[in-house]
Amino acid sequence: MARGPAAFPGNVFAPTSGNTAPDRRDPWDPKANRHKSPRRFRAKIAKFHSHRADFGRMSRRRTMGLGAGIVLWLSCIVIGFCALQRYAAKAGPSRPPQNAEEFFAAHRTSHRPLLVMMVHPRCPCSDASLAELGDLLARSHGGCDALLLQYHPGEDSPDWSRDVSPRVLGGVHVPVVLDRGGKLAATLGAGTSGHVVFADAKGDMRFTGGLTTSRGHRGRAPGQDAILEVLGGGEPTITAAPVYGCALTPECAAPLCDR
Amino acid sequence: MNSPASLAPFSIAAEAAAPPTPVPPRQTVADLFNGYEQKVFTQGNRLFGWLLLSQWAFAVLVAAIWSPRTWTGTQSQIHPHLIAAVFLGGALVSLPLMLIRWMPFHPVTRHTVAAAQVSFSALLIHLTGGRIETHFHVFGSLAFLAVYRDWRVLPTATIMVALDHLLRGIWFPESVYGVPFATLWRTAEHAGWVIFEDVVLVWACLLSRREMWEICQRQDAHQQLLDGLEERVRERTHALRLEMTERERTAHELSHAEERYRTLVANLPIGVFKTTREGAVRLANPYLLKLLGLPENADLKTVTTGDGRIFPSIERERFWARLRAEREVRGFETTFRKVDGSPVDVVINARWREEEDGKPACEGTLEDLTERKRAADEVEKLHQQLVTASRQAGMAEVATGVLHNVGNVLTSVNVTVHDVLDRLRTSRLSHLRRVVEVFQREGPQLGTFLTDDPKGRQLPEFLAKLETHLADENIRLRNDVEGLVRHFEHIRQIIVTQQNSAKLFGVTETLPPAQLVEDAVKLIAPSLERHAIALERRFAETPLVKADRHKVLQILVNLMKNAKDALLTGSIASPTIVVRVQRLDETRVALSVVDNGPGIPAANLAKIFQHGFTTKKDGHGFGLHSAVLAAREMGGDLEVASEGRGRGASFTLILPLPVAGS
Repeated sequence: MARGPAAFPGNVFAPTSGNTAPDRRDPWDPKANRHKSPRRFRAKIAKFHSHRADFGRMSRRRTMGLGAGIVLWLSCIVIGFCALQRYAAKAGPSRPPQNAEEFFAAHRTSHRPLLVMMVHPRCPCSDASLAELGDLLARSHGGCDALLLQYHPGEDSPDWSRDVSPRVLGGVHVPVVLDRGGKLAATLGAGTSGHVVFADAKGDMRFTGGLTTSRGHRGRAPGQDAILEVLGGGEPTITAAPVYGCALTPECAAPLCDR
Repeated sequence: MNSPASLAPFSIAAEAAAPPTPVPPRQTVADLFNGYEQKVFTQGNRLFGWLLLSQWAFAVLVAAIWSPRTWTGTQSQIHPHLIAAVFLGGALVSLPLMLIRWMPFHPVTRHTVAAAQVSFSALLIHLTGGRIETHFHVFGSLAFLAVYRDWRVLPTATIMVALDHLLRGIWFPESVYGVPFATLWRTAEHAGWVIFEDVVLVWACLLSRREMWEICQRQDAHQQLLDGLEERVRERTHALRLEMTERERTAHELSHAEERYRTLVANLPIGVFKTTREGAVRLANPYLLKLLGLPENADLKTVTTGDGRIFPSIERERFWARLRAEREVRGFETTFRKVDGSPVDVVINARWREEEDGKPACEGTLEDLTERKRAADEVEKLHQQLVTASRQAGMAEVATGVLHNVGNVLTSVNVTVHDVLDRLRTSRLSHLRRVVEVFQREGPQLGTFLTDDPKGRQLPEFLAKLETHLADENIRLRNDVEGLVRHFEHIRQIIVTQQNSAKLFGVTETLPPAQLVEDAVKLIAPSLERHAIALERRFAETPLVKADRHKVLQILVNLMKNAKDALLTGSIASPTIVVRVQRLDETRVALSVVDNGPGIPAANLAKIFQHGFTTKKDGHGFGLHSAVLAAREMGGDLEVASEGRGRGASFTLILPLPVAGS
């Protein structure tokens, strides 16, 4: 709201309004206001600001309209953030493993724990999961092996990545295996990108679930602690955790596939 | 109605006549502070307007790059992050931009901007996957908000951040703290760091506003100084405009005056010149050129007065000598030579001037004396005629008086003669003849007759009576004859007086004024006696005067005759003429003729000496005119005074005393 120079309450420090001469004392100058008590000085400052706010120059209807607009705006923001958060906190689908022991037997080195993560190469949430996997491997100090199962739709999708070169995560060279059509993930019971299955040195599956706490968000999840506890020779606090990421196959998006 | 062209010279005058432009009221410190604050708010609004739009675009870009789509196997759809970046980011910038546009200085605008700015921090943190680095956006936003220098927006932003952390910490702690469980102390810790920055920023804002106020105070002081200077400049400008107007008007008037001067000089019937000592003519008006026989458009560079052809050298040297001595010469009469060689009498009035280089020069006027001399000759001739006429009139007057007096005397003589003649006719000498005849007839018997005859006895008594009668008659005749002798003596005296007056006409003498009055009285006294007019003399002791006897008598007789005529026109109870002689001062004597007649109206006093003015039925209006001329010829004057009708009149002839040593 534009105000002209005359609208400025230059005489707010004057005892009376009207044609009296404006008070040139600086409201911030303690010397000019030393005869005033701090409380009165603060009150004067507040009065000064209230005059500058110039609320009195707005009509009641306009003030109410402005308030309603602000409330509506805040509501939209709150709703937007809540929806965004709700999306981030929505876990992906999981399914029971079909033949995990066979998979571990085929891919696990003798007497070495194995950590397998299923990733969807185009899911933005996979970055956070891979980053958390790197952190976990770094903290395990080589206590286990890792394997990435990279989803691939099949031979009829030539534009999908077929790169199976190992990836370095947490200082560990992690081999990559193409999971054509998500069959291996189905064998391990994974339906969501970022799903981790952990088998101990005996080949027993000790943990299944995600390493993040929400979609695409990094952060130390309870699953990491459970795996580290197993590697430390203890019993994990939890054996399963929700996975936050994209569904690996369309079938996993169906209610049947949901955990 | 004046045309624009005619109004043009006065446009500045009209502008100058207008009062100075009114000065707008000066801004107070608070006004200046308000303007300064608005400027800061405007800068902040501009910054955050672009910043919010940039952040919105950045959020969309981040979402489009990092999470453009969400996948389900081989199927994908737009990622909610991108939708949130577009729509939630758009919602965040919408209200702040509208408020910046419509309410740029309202505090709600700044608070809304603050809320939107920290909300963008939350959005960007979310879009970047909760990167800890993005959390620095919160602190950067608080620092940016300090651009407003309004500390109150910082609590708003802080509250927004705190609420966001509190709510997320309660329901989604992993989204803000990265762990699934967080206590309120974690929220307090985050808020504490924000408050830590707020304290510094609030202090900086207050300090900045105080400096703004001090700047405004200094600006106000400077403005006061500038206002004073501007007021002085305005007043000075107004004064200069008035001065320019005055100068324009003066120049205009000067131009007119110069034009009038040129016209006047060009049309003057008198020569105007300026010349140097060497004779170079700097200025000569057409009349002068024409007087010298030159054409009016003659080149002045070819005219010189230094070669003696126009201005004779001897006269010229005399003129310059006098001019150098007196610095101003008036009435210098000389004779110029025209171009054709003919002489022209001129009179020069000139003043000494010096040229710019200090050389002597002069400027003045030159008049042609030819016409003036001719007029003077005519005036002199007329004056001589007038004097002659006056003299003749005076002589006639005197002659009239003389003849009148002589006539009066002759009347008396005639009466006396007739009286003598009647006496002689009625003389008793016949009785004596009869007695003689009786004596001759009675011869021898004379004794008898004288004794006996009754008639004879009466004869001695008769003779005695006859002798008495004759003796008485003889005395009477002798008296008459003596009277005749006196009358003739009187006539002789009159003639002698006239002869004496005529004999001394035109000669200035040193005369006793009382004697002059007495002589005049002698001439007029019989007339006064005849009309029973009393004459009173009041003569004071005076020295001799220097005067023409005849003229004085002529004037006095004229004055006394006029007084007599005036007294005869009214029924004056005791007509009296007072002749008075007194000394006025060291140099003058006054001879006055005062009467108690009907007086002279004030309107006539001023013109009583004019030629032709008279109040007499048979007058000519010449007597007093010639009298005053005669008085002035003698170096005196004639004055009249009257207090009005019925108060008499007084004519005073003032004569000069002879100068000592002359």
